[in-house]
Amino acid sequence: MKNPDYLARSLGPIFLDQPLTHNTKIRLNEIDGTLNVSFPKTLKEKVSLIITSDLYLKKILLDFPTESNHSINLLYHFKKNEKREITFKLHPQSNVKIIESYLSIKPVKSDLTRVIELYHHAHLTLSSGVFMDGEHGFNDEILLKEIGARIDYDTLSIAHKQDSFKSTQNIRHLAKNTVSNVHNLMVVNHHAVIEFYVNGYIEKGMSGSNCKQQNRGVILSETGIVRVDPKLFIDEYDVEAGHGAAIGQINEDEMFYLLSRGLSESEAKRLILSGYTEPFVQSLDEGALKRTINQRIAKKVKGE
Amino acid sequence: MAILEMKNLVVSVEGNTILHGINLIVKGGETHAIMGPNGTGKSTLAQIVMGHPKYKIESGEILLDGEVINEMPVDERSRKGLFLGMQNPVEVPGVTNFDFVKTAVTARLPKDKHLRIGKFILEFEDSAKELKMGSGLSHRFLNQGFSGGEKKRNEILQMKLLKPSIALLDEIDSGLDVDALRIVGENVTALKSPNLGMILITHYQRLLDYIVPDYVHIMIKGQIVKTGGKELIAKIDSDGYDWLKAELGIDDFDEGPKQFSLGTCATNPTTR
Repeated sequence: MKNPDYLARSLGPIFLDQPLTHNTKIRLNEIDGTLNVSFPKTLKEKVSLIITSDLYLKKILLDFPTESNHSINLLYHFKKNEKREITFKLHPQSNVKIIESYLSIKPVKSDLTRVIELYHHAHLTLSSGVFMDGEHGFNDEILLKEIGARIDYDTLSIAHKQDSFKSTQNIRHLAKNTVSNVHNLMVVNHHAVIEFYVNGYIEKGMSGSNCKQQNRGVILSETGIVRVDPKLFIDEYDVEAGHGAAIGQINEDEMFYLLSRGLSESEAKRLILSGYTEPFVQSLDEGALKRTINQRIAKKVKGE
Repeated sequence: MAILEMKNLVVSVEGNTILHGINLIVKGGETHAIMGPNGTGKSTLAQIVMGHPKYKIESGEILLDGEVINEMPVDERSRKGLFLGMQNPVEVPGVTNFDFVKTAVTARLPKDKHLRIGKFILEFEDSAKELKMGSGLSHRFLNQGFSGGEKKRNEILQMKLLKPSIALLDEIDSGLDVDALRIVGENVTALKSPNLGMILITHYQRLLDYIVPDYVHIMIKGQIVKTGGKELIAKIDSDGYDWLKAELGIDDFDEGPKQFSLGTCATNPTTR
């Protein structure tokens, strides 16, 4: 058992920048590589959790109790190849907002599995920004386990050079009146490849459920690839469901309009893309992280 | 004083020739109106001067202050002083109006100079007020959700702040109600100076009631067929273009694609 003070002091692997003292239970087992964080019902301020590769960490569990209300910033900083499982467990009536940022200091290879369990009327708002370099696999299992569970899930993935990101999102409506809204935005430059396989499942009897998927890909180069395969597997009549994908280069008329006002091509691209990336960047409260993410985006878009 | 010249300009789009040898000189301080029926190449003229990649110059030249700009990139043309107020300004979601104009104004500054942001904010707000654009404009996304009239006023707002030396306004009157037309007309007229040459492209007299041109050019079938003074405007408003077509012997009907038969077994003589 490690207390939060120890974690705060250790800085490298995990840094909790809020004094999560008596209310938050943290169990860190360095032998089997697990980190369990059990949050209290509420905390006064937003929590930022920074996880780097310095520690042997195979599994992370963030556990939010019944009727809890939280806003969490998660920063994953990859320094080497990693395989990891992350679980978010939202107990009944909890309302949680999580903003995740994935960064790396060099091209690395990662394989991440994320399990999201949502119970009775739990609501998760999840924004995920992927700005790493290298080869990355993401596997999401989103389990809407009990009545009224809801997830609003936005991702922003930016890849350049030889980056290759592959995401599989399985959204399983396992109870009545469950809601999922998934919006994926992908930007590729150079030879990068981003693939999204988005699967929405509504089981028989899960009436009143609502499953929506939207995917948008912007290709900045001649050789970049965005591949999206949105699928719905519906076994119930009384549901709402929809999916779609729009992939293409930046609209020629939009570019012409901006260029006609004297903006250079790179500046025009940056401005158009900022329209997509700003909602994510602005959702980050912390100034230094905001600057870091903005610099990463600029590098990837400019091709540095 | 800026000079824009077009010399024997022939322009095509997707293999179809649209402009058939345009000759025009616009100097600082002058206002030229270009009128003509639909589909006659007026907007093509504006777009090719600004450098839209969809259009191809087959022959002829466009010169700005004596320099041939046929191959000049669009952004460079803008920074050299050209401005195109567009007929259908595009919507750019996520980019605020203020950020866009600020970036455009900054792009015009020499590298060693910085935009004085306080002064710029005041200028932006004053210009928006003069165009009666209402508060909150700066934070709205570029043209997104704007009414047709708001979009056109936003074009003039940009023109005021970017201070071009040659401005082409392509049907800046379309989509405007009577009051908005007056506001736009008054604002554009207020910009008239020896440092600004203008080309107004329009179908209607009403815009030219507010912005009085020095020259009126009539364009039909990709050519300027007549040039005169403002008396031409009244004539067109009352009589349309038919008199001019008759006077110049212009046929209204294109040949169009040649008709052909796919043929059938029953009618094909070789199978009978």
